[in-house]
Amino acid sequence: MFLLILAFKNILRHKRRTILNITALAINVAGIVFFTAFYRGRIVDNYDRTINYLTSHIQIHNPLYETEKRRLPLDLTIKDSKKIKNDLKNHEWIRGVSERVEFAIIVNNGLDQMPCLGIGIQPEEERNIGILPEVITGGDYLVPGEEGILIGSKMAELLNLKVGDIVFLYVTTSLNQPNLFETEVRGIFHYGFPMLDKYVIHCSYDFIREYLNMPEGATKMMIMLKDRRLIPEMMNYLSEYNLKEYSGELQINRWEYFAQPLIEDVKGDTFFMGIFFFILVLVGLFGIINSMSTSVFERTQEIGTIRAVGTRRDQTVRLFLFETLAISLIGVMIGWIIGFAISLYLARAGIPLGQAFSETEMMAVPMGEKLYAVLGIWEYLGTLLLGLCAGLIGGISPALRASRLKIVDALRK
Amino acid sequence: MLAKIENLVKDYYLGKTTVHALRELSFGIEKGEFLSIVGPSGSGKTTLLNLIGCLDLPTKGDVFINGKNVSHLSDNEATNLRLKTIGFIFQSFNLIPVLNVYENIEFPLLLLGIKAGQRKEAVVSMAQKVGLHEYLIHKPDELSGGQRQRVAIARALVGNPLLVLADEPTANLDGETGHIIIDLMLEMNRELGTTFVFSTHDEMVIKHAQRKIFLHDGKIDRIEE
Ligand SMILES: Nc1ncnc2c1ncn2[C@@H]1O[C@H](COP(=O)(O)OP(=O)(O)O)[C@@H](O)[C@H]1O
Ligand SMILES: [Mg+2]
Repeated sequence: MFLLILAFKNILRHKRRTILNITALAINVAGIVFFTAFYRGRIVDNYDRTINYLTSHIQIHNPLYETEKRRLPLDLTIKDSKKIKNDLKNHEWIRGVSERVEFAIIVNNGLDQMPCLGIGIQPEEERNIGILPEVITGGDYLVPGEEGILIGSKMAELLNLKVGDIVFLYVTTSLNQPNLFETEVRGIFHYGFPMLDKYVIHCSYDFIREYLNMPEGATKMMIMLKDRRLIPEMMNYLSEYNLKEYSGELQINRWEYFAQPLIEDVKGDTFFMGIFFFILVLVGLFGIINSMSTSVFERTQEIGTIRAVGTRRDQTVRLFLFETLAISLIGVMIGWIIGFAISLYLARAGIPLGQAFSETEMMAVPMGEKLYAVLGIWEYLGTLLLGLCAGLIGGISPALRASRLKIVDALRK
Repeated sequence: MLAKIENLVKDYYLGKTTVHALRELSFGIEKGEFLSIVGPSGSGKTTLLNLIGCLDLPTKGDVFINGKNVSHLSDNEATNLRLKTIGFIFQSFNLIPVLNVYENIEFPLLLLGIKAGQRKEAVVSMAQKVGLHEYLIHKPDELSGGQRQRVAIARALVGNPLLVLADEPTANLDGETGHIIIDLMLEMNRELGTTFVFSTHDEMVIKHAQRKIFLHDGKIDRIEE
């Protein structure tokens, strides 16, 4: 205990050096804390947008669909999709279930044309699945069974289309026959994600199935839960349901299955963040080692004295370790405060990403205009651990050196 | 007899040369005596006191304290022995600069694990004995050399050691202060019965000593009673 007090008194001895060490550590810790919060915000944002824009939480397919999905097969459907929807829609964990049909389509404005992905959706059910109803920037949303399509803002620009314009659509039916028909642009949506805004049209599920000549079944079913954390339990429930009702014939996947590149990306980034943080801590570590070595050197005679008076080797080690630990603890705590303040600000105000960045074609993941940090606990525990390790590792070698000094030589200094 | 030194040899090795700091010294230290080791610089005074104080191990020969051979102790055993039975006073005072007078005197008691109440009593009474009770909260750098050495004396005595070793305690003090410090040590020697061994190269300060061992070149020149 008194060694601890003496250690604290020693800390105040070289105020400038101590402040320098504490500052370096605090900056590192603050950096790690708010980078982590920001990074978590990015992941949460990426995941949420991927789920809301693209995948929903869980999807059901015909088991053969996967291998043929490149040709957007209309013959590989979930025959019982209507019944499945009715079975599931009132489940307590489920926010929404909807049937979809995805098909290849060519959109023609009379002059130019674009091949794209058509998605037939159930407009009312879809309100509980994605955010399409909220991103309509012109015209109207879809009405079940009614004519008309929704096109993305980029496509509208490229094909020079406005709400109310007539477009010619070219599809291949489930019987492999070409079908050409005309309809109007009901509305324009803008996700801010080029892949969707440029290459996707939406239309009513019932309306398009007539033109596709599909008597029954959806090509995919989207399930949105009330909370992402319910996915594992829901998956269990669904696989039981699948076994019981369809002898396991449905293919049921979590959203991550459809977002592999994103997941890989996040893993890679996390790895590099880890290395980056490690380097930060290493820098702090060298600072501590350096200043503690100087301290040991400066206090050689004093070390000789306390050893002569009866301080054991292990007590001497502890004296110096306490000192570095206290410095690193103080540094960590100041870093926490700064890091927390910055994270809190970033969580409230967000960081603008800039239009140019958020809508580049290269973008693999949908992003908004701003990113918000998400506060967590792990960065605090992690930096505490790192700080203590830095203190221990940084202090141990000077402390051991101090304890191993020959007393008579130390006293002669 | 409190301590016995038998055929004590200490060599230092400096590269290829060997320095014979002590060559076969033998003498005894009586309980309660006030002994001075006198010799010019380099005669081996510090080396001798370091060996008696278990700060270093002899090359040959033995040191007995209270009948126990202490020439082969492990570091922890030696530390424990120093803490419990030996007090040190140094030429350059060697106080802990971040601790005030009170805390400096208290330090050995903390190492000994003595309870707070007893500690306070012992520190205050010792500070009174050395005349520093009004300076308890002063830091060493606010004190004069003589005052600092008083703190060191108090620190050396506060744990009730059997033996106090003072290596040239007056060398960094002016003549008058030096005498006062020696007088204080003598007083403590009489009052507490603690055995004192102190070294000096200045024959002027040793007129009070009961017994003087004159060292020359690592050997005993003569002993004066
Ligand atoms: N650590 C050491 N290494 C080498 N030589 C030493 C060392 N300590 C003392 N000596 C030598 O031993 C001799 C005695 O030194 P010391 O005990 O310090 O004498 P004194 O205290 O009387 O001045 C001197 O010649 C000194 O140079
Ligand atoms: Mg000397």
